[in-house]
Amino acid sequence: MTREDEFIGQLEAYLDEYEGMTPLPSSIRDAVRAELPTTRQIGPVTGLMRDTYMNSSMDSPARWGLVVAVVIGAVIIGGALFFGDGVNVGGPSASTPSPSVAPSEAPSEAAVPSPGEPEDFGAHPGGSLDPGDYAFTHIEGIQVVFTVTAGWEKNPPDDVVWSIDDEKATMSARTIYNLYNDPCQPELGLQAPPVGPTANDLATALGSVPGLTFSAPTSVTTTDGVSGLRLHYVPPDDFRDCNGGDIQLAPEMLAPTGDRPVTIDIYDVDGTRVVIAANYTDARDVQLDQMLNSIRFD
Amino acid sequence: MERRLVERAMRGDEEAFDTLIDRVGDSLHSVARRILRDPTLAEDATQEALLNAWRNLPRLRDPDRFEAWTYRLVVNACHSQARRERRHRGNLRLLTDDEPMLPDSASRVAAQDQLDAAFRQLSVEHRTVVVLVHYLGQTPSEAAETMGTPVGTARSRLHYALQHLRTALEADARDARNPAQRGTA
Repeated sequence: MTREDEFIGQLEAYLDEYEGMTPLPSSIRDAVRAELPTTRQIGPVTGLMRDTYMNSSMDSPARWGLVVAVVIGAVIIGGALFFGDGVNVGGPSASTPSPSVAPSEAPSEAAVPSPGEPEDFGAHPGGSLDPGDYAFTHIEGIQVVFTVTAGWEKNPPDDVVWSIDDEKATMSARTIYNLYNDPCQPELGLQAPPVGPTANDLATALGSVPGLTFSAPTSVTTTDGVSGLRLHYVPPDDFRDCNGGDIQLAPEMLAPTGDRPVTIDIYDVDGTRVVIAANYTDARDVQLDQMLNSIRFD
Repeated sequence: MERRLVERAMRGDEEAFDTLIDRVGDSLHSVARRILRDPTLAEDATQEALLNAWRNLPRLRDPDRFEAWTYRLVVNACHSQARRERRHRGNLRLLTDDEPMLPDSASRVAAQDQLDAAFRQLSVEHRTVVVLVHYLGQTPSEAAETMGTPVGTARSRLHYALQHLRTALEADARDARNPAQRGTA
């Protein structure tokens, strides 16, 4: 047995033995059971969207494509039945209804977050997001609250909001402790000595990342008055093959290559450095700005 | 986990969910106890996770993933409880060295005591990845999914946590070999 095996064995024995088996106290079971009748289940996306939404193996464009196709199909069949003498799918119609391809995604009342209370983004099971306030809760000690408009979704991991587009815009919140020496070769290791703990330290260190040109940091303030620093960069052309298509600035921070701008906001919140990264696309510039500008820390 | 049971609960069947609580409740609570190391906080986290599961169950995409999903919820709930506790205590790290040891720790071997002390010093996020991988037996990829982080984050947290624990044990072993040096500056 190696020393490493011995260490892992000790650790696992410690975890197994820790207070022995700890069954859920009956008082907690009873409390949960008692709350079920009065705890409203959040309704699924209804009808067609539910069926596609539940299909975790289907990616977002495919889901929407299926929705659009079926809606169009339903409208054509319905139109044929309503306006025609019989079913004449695919044939000419004397009176062609104008189908709406907009998915009928009116959220149920139960799906709307309670006023003033952001929905826990981590608890959301994934899929399209109802417009409203959400909170990233994965950073210990901090809730990052933001407002989502229509057209965004949650996919794994829990700390990223994705646009529902072919070309994905994203917004994420992370704590960043250190940077890689080279974002295209993370195997070369992290910077030593590590980047200092403040927003300013990280902004300065980003300015020295090889191959990337960051804008000079500017001030940014959240809606609840927390001041931070904002930087931008645009991946250069010669980064297209970087690290298999990903720019890895830190273990916690991956950004696609390409030519779309990236914004990085850095805040010091109660001693924790929070980094909000936004990957822009043409279609989502305005919405992404709105989301960034809605951020507050609870 | 029985798929039909989950599907019934997804449709609002409280009895089915009750049975699901019986199936996963103990395990979720054990995970919460090890992450939070505080009985009251662990109970609150488990209760929060179970109610969140009930609330969000109709939107679960794959009923076969119910159990994995509940681990994710309890990890989120643990982090929420830790956050509230930290605020309550003025940003102190949850359960630091000055808190009482487990009642039976005095009788444990020195290495276990040292491991216990070192484990307490880890942040909740670092304890989480250790519990998921070395207690639940998840792979780092599965732990990343449970924690809702990139795999790289899970790996780096695990690396840091194990390094911290290993260093603590080695220091203890050195002290045991050289008792005269204990207490020196």
